[in-house]
This record gives sequence, C-alpha cells and structure tokens, in this order.
Amino acid sequence: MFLQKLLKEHTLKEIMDQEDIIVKETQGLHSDMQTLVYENYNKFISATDTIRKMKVDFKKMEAEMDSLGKNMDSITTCSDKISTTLQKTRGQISKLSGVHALLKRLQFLFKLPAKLNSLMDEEKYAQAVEDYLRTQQVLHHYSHLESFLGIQEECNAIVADLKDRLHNQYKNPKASAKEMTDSIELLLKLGESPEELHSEFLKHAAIRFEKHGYQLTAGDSTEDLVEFIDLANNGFLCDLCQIVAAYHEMFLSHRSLHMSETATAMALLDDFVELRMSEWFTCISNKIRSEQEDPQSDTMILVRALDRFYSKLSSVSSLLKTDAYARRGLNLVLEACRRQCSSQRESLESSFSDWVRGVRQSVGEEQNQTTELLAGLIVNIVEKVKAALNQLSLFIQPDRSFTAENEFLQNFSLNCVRTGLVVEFLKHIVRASVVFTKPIASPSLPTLLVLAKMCMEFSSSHIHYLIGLVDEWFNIKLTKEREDEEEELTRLMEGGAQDLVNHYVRMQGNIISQMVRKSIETRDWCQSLEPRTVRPVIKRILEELATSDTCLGSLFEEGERPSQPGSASRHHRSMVSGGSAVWSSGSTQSYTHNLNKLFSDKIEIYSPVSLTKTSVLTGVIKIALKTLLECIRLKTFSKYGLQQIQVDAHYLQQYLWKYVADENLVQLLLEEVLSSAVHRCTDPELMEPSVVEIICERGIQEIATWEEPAESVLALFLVNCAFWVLSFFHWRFYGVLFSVLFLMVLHEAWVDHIWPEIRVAPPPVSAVSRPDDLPLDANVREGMLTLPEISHYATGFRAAVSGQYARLRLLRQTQPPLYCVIVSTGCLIAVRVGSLISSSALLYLLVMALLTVPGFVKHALPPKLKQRILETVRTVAAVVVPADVNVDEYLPDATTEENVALLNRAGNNCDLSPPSSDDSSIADLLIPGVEDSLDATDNFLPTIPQESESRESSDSEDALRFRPTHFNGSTTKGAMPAHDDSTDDEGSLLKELDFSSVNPATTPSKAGLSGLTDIVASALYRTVPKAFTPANSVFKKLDNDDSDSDFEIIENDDAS
Amino acid sequence: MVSEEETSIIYGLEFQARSLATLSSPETEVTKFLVGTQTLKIASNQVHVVEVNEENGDLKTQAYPHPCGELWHLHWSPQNESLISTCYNSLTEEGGTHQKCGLWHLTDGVNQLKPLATLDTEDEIRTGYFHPSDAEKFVTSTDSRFVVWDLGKGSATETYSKPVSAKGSHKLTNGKWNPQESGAAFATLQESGIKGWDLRSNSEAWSLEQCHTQCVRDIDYNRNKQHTLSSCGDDGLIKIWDLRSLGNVLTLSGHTHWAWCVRYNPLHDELLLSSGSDASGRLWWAATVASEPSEATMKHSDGPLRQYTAMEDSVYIAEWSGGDTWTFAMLSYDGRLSINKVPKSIKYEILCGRN
Repeated sequence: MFLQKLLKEHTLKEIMDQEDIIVKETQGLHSDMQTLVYENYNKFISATDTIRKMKVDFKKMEAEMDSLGKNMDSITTCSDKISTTLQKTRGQISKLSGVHALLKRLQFLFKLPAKLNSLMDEEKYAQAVEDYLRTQQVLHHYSHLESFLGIQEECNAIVADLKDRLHNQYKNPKASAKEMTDSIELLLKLGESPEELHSEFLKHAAIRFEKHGYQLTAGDSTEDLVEFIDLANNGFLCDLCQIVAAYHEMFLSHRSLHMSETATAMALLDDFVELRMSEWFTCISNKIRSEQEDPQSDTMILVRALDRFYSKLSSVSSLLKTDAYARRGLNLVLEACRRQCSSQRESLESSFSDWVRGVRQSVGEEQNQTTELLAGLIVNIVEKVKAALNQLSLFIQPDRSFTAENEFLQNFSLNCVRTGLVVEFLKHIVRASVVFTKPIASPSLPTLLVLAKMCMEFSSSHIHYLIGLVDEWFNIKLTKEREDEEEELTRLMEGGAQDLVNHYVRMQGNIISQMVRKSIETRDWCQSLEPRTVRPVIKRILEELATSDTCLGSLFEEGERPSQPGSASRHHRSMVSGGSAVWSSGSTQSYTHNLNKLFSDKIEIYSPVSLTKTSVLTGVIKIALKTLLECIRLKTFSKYGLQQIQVDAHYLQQYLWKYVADENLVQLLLEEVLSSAVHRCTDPELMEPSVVEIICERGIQEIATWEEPAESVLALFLVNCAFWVLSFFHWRFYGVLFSVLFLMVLHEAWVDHIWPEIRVAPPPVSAVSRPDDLPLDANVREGMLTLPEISHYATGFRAAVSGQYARLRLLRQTQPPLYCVIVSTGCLIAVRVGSLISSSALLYLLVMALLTVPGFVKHALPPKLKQRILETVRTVAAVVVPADVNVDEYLPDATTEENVALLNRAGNNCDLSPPSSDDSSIADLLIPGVEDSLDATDNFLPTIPQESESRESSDSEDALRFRPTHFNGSTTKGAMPAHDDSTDDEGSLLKELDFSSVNPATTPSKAGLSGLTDIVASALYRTVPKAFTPANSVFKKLDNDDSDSDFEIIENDDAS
Repeated sequence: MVSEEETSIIYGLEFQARSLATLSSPETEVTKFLVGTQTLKIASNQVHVVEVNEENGDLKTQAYPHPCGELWHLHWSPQNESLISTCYNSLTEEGGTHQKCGLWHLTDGVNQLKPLATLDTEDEIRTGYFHPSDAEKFVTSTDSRFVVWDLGKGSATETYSKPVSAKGSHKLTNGKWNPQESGAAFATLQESGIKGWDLRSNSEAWSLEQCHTQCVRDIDYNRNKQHTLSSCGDDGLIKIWDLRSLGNVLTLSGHTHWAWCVRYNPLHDELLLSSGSDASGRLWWAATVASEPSEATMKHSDGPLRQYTAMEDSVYIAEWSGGDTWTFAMLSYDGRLSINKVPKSIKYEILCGRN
C-alpha cells in the first residue's frame, strides 16, 4: 500500500530520496541493537558471580544458630531457681499493703463528718453528696459497730442539713434553672422520692411562671405587639423549655424508673405544661384582642407578632413532643385573623352606611348629581374592599411562619376573607339597602334609585370583580360550590335592586296618587264650573313625573319603547285624534271601552317592574291613573265636572305617552277614567273633542298680554314689517302671491331642515327640558284667558250668529222689501267706510291694537282703575240688559272667513282680560267669588248687541267681541287712535261698525289675506302653529252655514 | 284545581253596584244577600234580594225599586229579617248631591220597600249599621261624626252624637260596632287611622295611626276573639291588630291594588275574605291569630288560600253568608254578584281540626 501510494504519488526523484532515507534509518537501528546486546550480557555475568558468593555465607550462619539455642536453655533454668526463692517475701508484702488500704478507708470514714461539713461550708454540695454516697454503703454495713454508728448518725445529720439546704436552694426563686436542676439532681441522688420532687419542682416552676404571666399581663400597654410577643417568647417559652428539658433529663431519661412512675411523671409534666400553655395562650390572645380592638392598630405589626409567636411555638412544640400546642397556636392565629377580618368588615359596613348617609344628604341638596353620587359610591366601596383585602393579604405572605400550614391558608382565605369578609359585606350591602324599603325608613326617592342602581351595577360586574380579586389574591380555587355562591350573591343583589325599584314605584306612586286623591276629594264636582283649563294638580303631577323621569334617566336605561322618539310628534297627533274619536262618540263609547277591556289583559297595579326607566315610570303612572279612577268613582259629577275630567284626561294622555312603554295602557286607563266619570255624572255630556284639544294648547294671547316682552316686541316688529312690505306692494296680486310663496318656502325650510339641525345640536338640554314640539308650558300664566273660555265664547258666538241668520231668513221671507232696504243700507255704509280707509291700514291698526292694548291693560293700568272700568262696564251692561233681541238685526258682512277669525281672535284676547286679570286663573278655579265675577262679565256680554243695534245696525257679534276693548280704549285715551281716525263723524260707539264695514272692501284679497295671516302667524309663532288654525277650522263650518245670502254680496263685490 | 264545586254562581245587575249586605240573624239557615245598584239615573235604582238555594245552587231573586237615590251602603238588621237600612245618594235641587240613610221594611211577595224612617243630618251619611244585639239601636257615620239613633216607638230619634272630625281634618269614612262588649264599643275610620270609642264613658278608647299608607278602607272585628280587628287599605295589605297592645300581629299581602273590604268568617275566624280594586277577591288563612289555633289549622302557614279573579272590575265589597258559613259573595263594580264557596279541602281541614 505504502509503496503503491508512493509510486503513484511521487516523482522518481522523490522515490529515490525516500529510498536513501530508509536505508539510512535501517543502518542506524542495526547499530543500536548491537550495543544493547553487549550491555545486557555484562550484567548477566556479574549476577552469576553474586549468587555463587551467597551460597558460601549461608553455611556459616547455620553453625552460629545452633550455639544460640544452647545458651537460651541455660538461662531458663537459672530464672526458675530465682523465682522459687523469692516466693515467701512477696506474700508478706501484699498482706501489708491490704491492711494499709483498710486503715486509709477507716480514716476517711472517721474524717467524713468533718469533711462533709467543710464541703458544705464551701458549698461544694456535689462533692459532699458523692462522698456521702460512697461511704453510705459501708456505714450501713457496719452500723452494728458502735463507732460506725456514731459516724453514720453524724453523717446523716449532715446530709439532712444538706438536703435542707438543697431544698432551700431549689426553692429559692432567684435561683436559675441550672442551679435548680443541679439541686434536684443531688436530691435525687440522696434518695428523695421522685414524685415529691416532681411536684415540688413543678409547683415551684409554677410560681415562677405565674410571675411571668403577671409580668406579661401587667406589661406596659405602650409596648407594641411585636415587643410583647418577643418578651413572652423569650421569658416564658424559654423557661418552659428549660424546665421541660430539665425535667426530662432528671426524672425521665437517665433513671430507670418504674414504668408507672414514668407515666405519672409524664402525666404530671403534661398537666403542668398544659396548664401553663393555656394560661399563656389566654394571655397572648387577650393581648392580641385588646390590640385589635384598638382602632389604630397596625395590621403589619399584628402580622409580625403572630409570625414570631407561631414560629417560636412551632419550634417549641417539637420539644414538647406534641403538636397540639402548635395547633392551638394556629387556631389562635386564625382566631386573630378572623377577628381582623370581621373588624375590617365592620369598618367596611360602617363606612358603607356613612356613604349612604352622605348620598342621602347630597341627593337632598342637589337633584342632578345622582350619576356622580352613584359612581362615587361604587368606587368608594370597591376601593375600600380592595384596601381591606390588601391589608389582609399581609397575613398570607409566603415568609410568614403560619402560611406554611395548608390548613391555615385554606381556612383563612376561604372562611375568613372570602366568606367572612367579601361575601358577608356584599350581603350586608343588600341588606342595608333593602332596609330602606321597610316602612320605618323614609329615604328620599332619588336615594332609592341610587341604591337600586348600585345593586344593579354590583350584580352585573362588581361582585364578579371583587370575588375574582379575592380568589386571585388568596389563591382560592374555583369550585362549583363557590361559583354557585357568587351566582347567588348576584341574584341577591338583583333582588335587592328589584325591591328598591319596586319600593320606589310604590313611593312615587303614592305621592302622586295622594295628590290625585286630594284633588278629587276636596273638590265639589257637582258645583264645578265649566273647564277653562287643565287643573293645576294635573300639571303638578306631570312635573313630578318629569322630575322622576330626569332622575331615572340619569341612572337607568331607557327601556323598551315601541315608538321612535323622532316620530313622536306625528305619532302624538295621530293618537290624539284617535283618542278623540273614541271620546266623542258618547253613547258607543262604553261599548268600545268594554270591548277593549275584554281583549286586553287585566292591568296589575302594584306589580313588580323591570329595571328600566320606562318600566318604572309606567308603574308609577299606572298607580296614579288607577287612583284617579277609583277616586272618580267615589264622586258625583255635574256636566262641567265631567268635562273637567275630560280635559284633564286628554291633557294627561297628551303627555303621559312619552313616559310609558305601551301607550295603549295609558289610553285604556284614561278611557276607563273617563267612562267612570261619565257613569258618575248626573248630566253626561262630553265636550267637543276639538275644543278639548285646543284647551290643552296655549293661545296667541300670551304674546298679546306681554308675558314675554321680547316675544311681544318681536311680534310687533314682524307685524310692522309685514304691513310695510304689503303696502310697498300696494296689494298687487303677484307681489303678494310671491311674497307669500317666499315666506312659505322660508318657513318650510326652517321648520323641516334648519330647525331640526339646530335642535339636535344640544341633546342633553333637550333631554332634560321638555321636547320642543310640545311647547306648552305647564304653568298657565296669570291673567290669561284659557282656551276653555275661548271655546265657550266660540260656542256662544256661533249660537248667536246662527240666531241672527235665522232671523234674517225670516225677514226675507216675510218682509222682502224691508230686508232689501236693510241689507243694501248696510252694504252701502260698509262700502262708504271701506272707501274712506284702506283695508291694509285697518288690518294693521287692528293687529297693532291687539298686540299692545292687552299688555298695556294688564301691566300698566293700576288695579284701581281696572276695577273702575269693570264697574262702568257693568253699569252700562245693566242699562242695556232689558232690550230683547231684535228682528231687524242683520248680518251683512261679518261672515268672511278671515274677518271672523280675526274678530274672534281679537275678542278672545280682549274680551275678558280686564276681569280675568284681577286674579290668577288658577285661583279662579278654586275661589267661587272670582267665578262669580266672571259670571257677571259673562252676563253682560250678550247684552251688548242690543246696545249696538239700538244705535246702528251692525254685526252684533263683533260688537260683543269688541265691546270691552272699546271701553278700555276710550277710557285710556287714545290707546286706539285708529278708531278715532276711522270714525270722523260717527259716535265712538260706532267703531264696531267700522270694523265690520271694511270687510266688503277687503273681500277681493280675502283669500290671499287669510292665507297670509296663517302663514305669517305660523312663521312668527312657530312654537304655536295651531293657535290660528283651530280657531279658523271651528268657524269655517259656521261661515258656510250662514253666508248663503251674503255670498251674493261678496260675489257682487268680487265682480265689481 | 277548579272543580265543579268551586265554580261560582253569577248574578248580574244592570247597573253598577258597590253595596252588599248579608242576612246574618242568628237563627237564619238561608243564604241571603242584599245588593244595591248605584246609578245616577236615580229612579232606576233597585235593591235586590238574592237567595241561594244550598241544594242546587239556584238563585231566587227579587228586586225592589229604590227610587230615592243610588245606593252606597246597605245593612241588614241582625235581629229583624225584614228590616234593612240603605245609605243612598240623592240629587238636590241645586244640582248637588246629598247622602241620606233610609230604614225600610222588606216584605216577601210585595214588590215594594216600605219606608220606615229617613235619617238625615246636615252631613253626608256614609254608612249605617244596626246594633249587633240591641234591635233598637242604629248608628250612622257621617263626614264629621257618628250618630246613634233610637229606633224604638216606630220612629228614629237621635240619641247620641259624637263629633269625630274637626272641620278641615280628614273625614270619617266608615264606622262599625264592636260585636262584643255588648255593642258599647264603636270603631271609626279616618284616612289612615282607626279609632275606637267607648260609648259608655263617651271617650276615645284607643287609636291606631298610620295603619295603612294613605287610607284605611275597611275594618272587621273578629267576633270570636276579643280585641282582634282586621283592617285593609290602600297599600293592598290586610292587617290584623291586637287592640290591647295596639300592635300589628299579622300582615297579609297580595292585593295588587287597594284592598277595599275585609271580612272574618263568622264562625271560623282563621278564614278571612277580602276584595279590592285589583278586581279580585281573596281568601286568606290566618290561623295563628285565630281564636282556636288547633293542630289541623296549622297545616297551612298564614297567607293566601284562594284568589278569585274572574271579575272584570273593582270588587268593592264582599260578604260571608249568614246562613252557610262556607258561602260568600263578592260584588264587582260592573254589577256582577259572584257567589262562591270555600274549597272543600279547606272546609274539611277546618272541620276535622275542630273535632
């Protein structure tokens, strides 16, 4: 291989070289081998020589050994001889030495008493005892000899003395445990009975421990717990250990006592230790307890103290050969922990009640802070619980001696912290909250809500969080049972919330039903006057509901509601009309009602509600309406009483729907209320639904009476603008048309697009305040005409107009010539007046008067003057009363639509403002005296037509309407200058005529005007768009009724 | 649960009604109820006597016109089967109303009430009760006082009158004799309080304030156990009171609106009947506060036994029958008189317990 490789890989030259190298190496090796052979050969030769030499030497050695044997034999024989010769003397010597020893011992015996005495003097008790014990046997043996007996007695006396001394020493309280042990040992050696000694020993030890105990209990209270425990550990436990050790050593270990004796000794010791330990435990636990009761105690110190206590105890317990004490110690620690937990819980509970008190107070002060209060309350609770847990978690730090005990950990975490603290505290929250539903407690209503919401929040999240926290911090494993516990707690909280909310509903319901009941019971419904407005109490109820709504809204969810808030307005309208349809059909109504009853479920009044705003409010409303129903059934109503209820019910229906989940419920209840009222009515006649509807709306009169100066000024300004714009166009058809169109477009844009945008912008405001589409203010302003009055006059007006119309027809049939003369004269006069003054100016003056006079009368006139005006009016009325309605009345022109509307409006505003302004309309309803005065005004009004008719043929109704205004105007000099202008040559009482006579002239623009009026009005008083329309609609029909004849005239005018 | 025996007998009136009385004279064996209509069509008012045939459950009824007013309260003299009192509301000429009390003679076969006397005070008379034992005494409660009348000598004379309510304070709503103590004790209801009067010493004997939230609607003395009174009110609760300690010994809750009427069973006072404006009548078990708490009666815990919800409208009054103690009637406002029986199981339990 090597060669092949060589041949393959190397050149010839290299191979040659290689060969040389190999040859040289071979030669070197050969010479080395030769030298080695030579050397070894030499060594072999010298070795052979040495062996030969050794052979010769051995031969000499053998001869010498033989001679040595012979010598040794001779030596042995010599020594035998010597020993036989010495035998005798040796025996003598040994005898002598024995005698000497005996003598020495005897001497010791004789000297013993003295020696003992001296030893005792030197307090070498141990030596003394040893000496004594050594001699004891001998002395006892030789006690029959006189001299020995003496010695023995002497010794015994000394030893007795010694014993006494030892006893003393051992009873000496100052003696250390070591000394004691020594004494005991000696005494034992001296043959004292061990039992006696046990008891002596233990008794004595007991005295010492009592001192310890005393020292501990009397210990300075200023020292903290750790020091105390240290002291106790060092003083007490160390001594105890020593004693026990000594006891073992002395009495039990190295003495082969009888079994029974050992047992008794053991028992004694056990008893003793037991007693001491119990004392000690009581002492320690008392101290710990007193320390824990101290409110300023620091948990950390407690924990450290307990730690030291337990670690010492567990180390000691190994000595005591029993773990009973360790267990007791553990129990003590556990007890302390439990106390700590419960004290934590108590502090939690007390702070909880403090917080609740705080909530109650601040709820009383401020209404709208419930959310913050709630949040604060919950945060407080959670934080406080966390802080408590934090404190308690000190107990389970891993470096604490007792945390090593599994049992302790389990017990502490589960029983103390989880169950004892957290779960108990949560239960306490529910209990403490539910206490508020008991009749003794009378919390404010928002408090109930806050607490209910708190319970809800807890049940939804915080319970889980806190329990989770405990489980995490204290390493509690989740089991089915514990989950159940948590669930139960959640249920408990939910139950609490439910109870609180139910109670809230009952309380709130009671408050409202109390109002309802009082309002129904205290009123004499038989003598009730025609309804002018919704009763104030109904508005008060709505206010109460609104407050409740706000409060609930801030805390609770909205809850289910079928109708969308956006569609509320439209929805509301449709509902109203639907409702009125039911109400108007007086006779069939009971059927509908019964049918409804049949098909609807029975309404439970005091039923539990769900935890949403709507549901809660529904509950309250149900209670209120049911109360209303029951109270109504206890009363008897007159026609007007019934109508009042009808108005109230309608009003309630208008407003309650937005609070409840199911508005059918409200409707049903209200229908039931109304039908009950119908049943309880002596003269069941319901009001016109449309009238009811307008009663619940606010009129334009608020502007006229300058309740809101800004609004009124604005109105004045806009009217002026409108007038000047119109006069600028000179009433030309296209100008007017397009300006009207322009206004319409503007209005629509504003109402449909711009306003909603603006309105949505600040939602919180609109949520709290009333929705904008319901402009009605709950308070009816003082001195205003209420719409029921308007409706009253409207009906009167209508009746009068139809009367006049009937009379005219009669006249046409019976006396055509006279009729013709009268009608044409009237028309001519109207034409004359119309030509004198422009219609627009007239309209303008009229509107201006409308806007200013009532406000002036109401605010600027002194009450006395008002009183006088009123009296004057009455006397005038009294004068003209007797006149009967005349046949030659005619009604030429008061019938155009817009005129009637305007007049009606004017009349509404002006008619009664003087009388009604002398007291509030609310008071009107309640004080009969004022009602009388109103009646008086009612009485004089119908007489006015006679007056006007006696002077001039005119529209009696217009006269009726304008009469008071006119009086006011004339008395308050120039308040209506327009009248002076228009009535150049006629008496001041002819003004009525002026107004009416304009109409023929204005008829051409009638349509435009009336439309314009509406548009302007709706543009101006966007908030009260209906103020005009109802009035118009009421009279539209009336116009059609009685203008048969008048149409001809109008058409003539149109043609001309 | 609804066995045939538990179905109720219905008697319908054509008008609304809220007054009911029962014939309770001691010797009577028949179940007779008196029902009065309440309608403002004054002339159409009627008093109906409804007699229940125990065997077949048939009703024998007779209507007597009562044209002088709508009936608010009825009472049947416990001594005289043909003597009844009615408290009625009549319309005055001024359009107002006035409540009076009339005493009538009721004769079978004659379709007419024979007027005996009309009791009228300046006040509104709310209720009128015959004395439980003295046939000649009658008491009326008006808004402000109660008046004791002497019915002897064929006419009614006012013998005693006690003003209870000052002007402006709460009005008297009802007043009842105590059936024990020989009828010398009387209790009145005022808003949320009940007051007891001792007619001999002419003084207020006891007073319970704030018994119910808002208003006490009715009370009933337990005639088998002294010093025990039940009351019901606007909180829908029935409460039983011990008049010696003036303490509430039992509260029964269940009505979902005002409880208007409560009645002890005349013989078995562990049974209570109540009715309310939640359109239900309820039977209650109150054995722990009954006169003879026996073992069998402890079978149930105190509380509701049965609920009768067939009515459509508020049930303002309910009465036990004077003849058969297991029959009772409830009158709902829509004019339906519903006559029911205590369920047999309960009846047997009580009877076995007694033996």
